[in-house]
Amino acid sequence: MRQLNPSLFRAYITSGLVILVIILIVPLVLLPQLSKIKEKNLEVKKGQERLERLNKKIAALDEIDESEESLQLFEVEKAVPSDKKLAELIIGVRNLAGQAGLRIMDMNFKPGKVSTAAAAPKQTKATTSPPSLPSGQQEDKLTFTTKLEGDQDVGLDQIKNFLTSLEKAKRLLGVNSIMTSRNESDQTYSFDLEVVTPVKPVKSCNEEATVKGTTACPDIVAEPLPPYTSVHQQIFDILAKFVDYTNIVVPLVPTGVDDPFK
Amino acid sequence: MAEPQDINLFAEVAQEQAKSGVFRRKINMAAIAALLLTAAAIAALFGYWLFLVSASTRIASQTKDAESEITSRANTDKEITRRALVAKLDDARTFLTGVARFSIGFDKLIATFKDSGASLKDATLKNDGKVTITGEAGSSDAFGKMVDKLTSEELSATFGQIKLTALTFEGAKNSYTFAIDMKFLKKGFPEETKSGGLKKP
Repeated sequence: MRQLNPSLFRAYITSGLVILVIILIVPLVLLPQLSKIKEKNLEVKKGQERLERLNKKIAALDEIDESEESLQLFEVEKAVPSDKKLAELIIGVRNLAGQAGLRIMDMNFKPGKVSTAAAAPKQTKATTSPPSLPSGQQEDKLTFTTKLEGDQDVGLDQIKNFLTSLEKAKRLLGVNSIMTSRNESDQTYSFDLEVVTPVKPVKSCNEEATVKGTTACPDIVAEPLPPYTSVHQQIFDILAKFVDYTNIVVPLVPTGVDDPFK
Repeated sequence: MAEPQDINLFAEVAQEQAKSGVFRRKINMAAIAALLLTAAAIAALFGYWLFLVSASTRIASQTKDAESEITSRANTDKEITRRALVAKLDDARTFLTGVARFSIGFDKLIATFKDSGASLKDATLKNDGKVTITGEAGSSDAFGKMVDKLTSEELSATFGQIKLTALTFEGAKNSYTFAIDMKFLKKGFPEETKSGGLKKP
């Protein structure tokens, strides 16, 4: 039987150890390091992309003429208000009807919530559903019905003039339906209208996320600014030509007192 | 008796030892080369890692600066204004696009009834375009004129799908009572007017 030669063993021990070290280094050092590098690379790539978005946003913010856009927002707020502004709306519709020579016989509002965001009850869970509105009411719209009556013979012309003014009212108003009926006895016309007006409430990030059905707020700091296009400018130009029938300051009454009208 | 032959084994042993020495040297060289390669790979990876860490730190610092610039008071005001303005203008556009222009509908109806001599009793106009009108005509000629006018080329952009759903002759009044269903086609931005000069975006 052949004996193991110790000199032979000594001769190959170095190379054997080297191979062993290499074999151990690959799974214990190289592979974990590669995995870490991959993660870090991804992190750096994402960070770089976000930084580019931030820099683009800074450039876009620098280009904004704040005073011009603030004035435009002030005008657009009259067309699409942040809250329902019921008192001004009622006065506006009365003005419109009065100018057309129509009499308001009835007006029916179902405004639902008119409270401000601050007055809303605190929600304990982020996932709770938004408070429900009366049936037929959407948060971004206010619908009301009104009954108008015209004069003898000219009732149809009066409603035409009313609708013409209403379609060009600065507080945007649209008619969902009109029912016209003629009174056979005195030949006057009465008109039942369902009118709708848009409302754009200011929402917090969480409320917006709930509405969109997402769980978390988006990265609002890096979120690009919405572009102000020529279409927006044209819409603004159209709105600027509309007539404001609701520019009446309705004095607020004191709250928490016995008689708020004193 | 033959003398034993001398065999020189030295050359073979020396040859084998020499071969084994060369082989051992080659193995060792290969092992050292592999070790050096591994070391180089580790060094390269470590260098790349350091580069990534430094890039990450630089990006984090630049991001922080950019964030604080964006969230500064002046820029926050600008952003809120822009977002609110664009959102409201988008809403206004959607609203104006979807609203039926009933003033045009009434204008055309009034003209049609006046020209034909018929009279409008009831009318229902809905935003989805459904229109139902009932009226009276003193003669078949008046009724015919009204139908001609309603179905004319001039009104084809305003009313479509015109259907006569009922026509009754009332002997006592000597008049025709009729009911018509049709589709109102005018939706969207207010028409261009002499005073307003509005145009569609």
